[in-house]
Amino acid sequence: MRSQTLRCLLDGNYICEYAFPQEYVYLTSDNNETFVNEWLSAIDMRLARVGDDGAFFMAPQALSTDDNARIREEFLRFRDVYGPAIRMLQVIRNAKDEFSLNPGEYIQHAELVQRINEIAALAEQLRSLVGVIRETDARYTNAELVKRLLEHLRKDGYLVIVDAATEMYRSTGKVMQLTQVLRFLGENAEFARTSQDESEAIEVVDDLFDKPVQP
Amino acid sequence: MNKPRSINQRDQVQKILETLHRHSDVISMSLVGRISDIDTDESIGKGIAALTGVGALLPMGDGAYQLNPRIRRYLNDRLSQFSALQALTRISEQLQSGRAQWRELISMQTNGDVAAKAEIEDALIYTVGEIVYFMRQNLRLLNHQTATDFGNVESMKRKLRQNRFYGDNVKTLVVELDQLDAFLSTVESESLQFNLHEMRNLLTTQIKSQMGIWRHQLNEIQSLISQRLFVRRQIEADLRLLFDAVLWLENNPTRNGLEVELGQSAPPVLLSPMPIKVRSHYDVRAKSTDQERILCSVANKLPLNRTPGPTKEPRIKQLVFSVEPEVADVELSPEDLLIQELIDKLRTSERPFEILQWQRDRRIAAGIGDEEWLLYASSQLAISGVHTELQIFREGDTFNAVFDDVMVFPG
Repeated sequence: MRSQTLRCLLDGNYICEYAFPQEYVYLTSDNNETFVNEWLSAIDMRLARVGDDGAFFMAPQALSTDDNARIREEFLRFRDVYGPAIRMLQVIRNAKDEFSLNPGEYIQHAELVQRINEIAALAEQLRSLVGVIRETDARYTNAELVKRLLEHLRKDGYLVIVDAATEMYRSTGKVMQLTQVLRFLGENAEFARTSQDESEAIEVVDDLFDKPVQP
Repeated sequence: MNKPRSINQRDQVQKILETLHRHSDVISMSLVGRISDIDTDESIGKGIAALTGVGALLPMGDGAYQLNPRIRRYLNDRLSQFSALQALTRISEQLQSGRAQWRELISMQTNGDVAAKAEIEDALIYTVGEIVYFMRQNLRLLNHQTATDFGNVESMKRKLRQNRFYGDNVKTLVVELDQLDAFLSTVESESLQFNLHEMRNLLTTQIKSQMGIWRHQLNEIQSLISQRLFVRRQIEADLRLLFDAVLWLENNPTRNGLEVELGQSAPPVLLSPMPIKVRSHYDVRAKSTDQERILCSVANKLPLNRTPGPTKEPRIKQLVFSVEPEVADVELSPEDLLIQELIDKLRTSERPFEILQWQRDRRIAAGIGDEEWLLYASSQLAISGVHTELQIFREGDTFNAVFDDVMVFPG
């Protein structure tokens, strides 16, 4: 398991309990974390975690000038690098109110499709991602598009499939990495939005229950 | 109906489009706000002048220009770039035109004025097309505004104002849809009376078949706005980040990313890990079944040997010289030669004799001692079928049988 875990880290994976359960157990057992950290230090890398208790991943001992340049370059290509995942996760969220962008959440293909077929606005939003989701075409049905959306996110490491028969997926620790990136950007002047204090939410609470028009 | 009908008109359209294309950078700049020809470079100045010439830019005074609102509307529609409180397009004007055109058609049908009828029919078809287009655009706008939990405004208060604004807009649109419904009913009844079935079919196909879907979607969107606002309160901080990111993507359709200052030490989580490829090589010195199997598979994948092999000898005719098996002449060793001579002698002898003295001088000269000779010769002669007897005598101090010669018997 040791060599398997090391190789998994070298492959650039985020090791969480949902995507790589055995490797995660290995890293959290005994003193393995220390050993892996020492092993990685021989190649100027270290074992890092997303947040305090998130997924494990391989990071440089210290970010070099090249590393900083790569981060900046990825932000300059934000739409291409992070845009697709962000927009697809938003479709999932809009079709599934309980989805809170945390690792380990269950997402079922049929459930999403049913909701999207019920609401034209959601279908419209999904169809606007044709071309953004890999291997899609405007002639595909909503069910086919959702399937490809989920597979796209799976291949990018944001989801794992837990039951192929029922097409049940589960979010991984990599979604936390995405939120960390967005949190960092939220501190950026251009990206940041007007903060909303609690009083505002309380003030408007009555307005939230306005009734839809019955034409 | 505005249809380019002459070659001259077509040329004019081409010229306008060419001007727009040539100065597309200026149009792109003016899409996000006003543009000024003061302190600007020469090419932009020329672009502003040319675009003002074709009415694509409108002078606002003090050297400022803004994009023709029709062009702005078209581009924003194409880019799904809707402003926060962009009003839905009213269809009252088209409805009014449609009613007038319908009345005119009835009048022409009654008076038998067939010549101008085609033109009015064209105009009515155009009006119907406009109504369908505006309705689809309106629904697209509403869908877009509800696509995110926030629409395209940042604060909750603004979102609520936007909610009320679209609530009112939807109500107005629903009233107009009712009026459109009434107009269609009039068309249906009057088309039978005045024999205008074609126009009736057109209106029914284009509008009436869509009416139910439009009403359903309007209701659904309005319901969704309220629902989303309620859910909004429960949104976790992380989700808000996600929606902020989507909002940024929506609001900046022409931008691919943004400049970010990383500060002294950027968090390592921003750097997605680059895979480090582990590639093992075969150790050809290692000996194991697995290693041999790997080497065989590697050898099989190696390219064929390109070096030329030995040149082939030209084939010559085969000749048979003999069919008798050749017997090789074996050169016998001295002891075997002595044994062979001994066997030949036995064939002619009539009496047995002892072999110790056989050709003794020759044997000693060849370095073969008595003991070696007796042991070797007795066994070789026995193998050859010669009857031999050891000449045993009793030795006092040993239990072993001791012999000093070997008697051989002829035939």
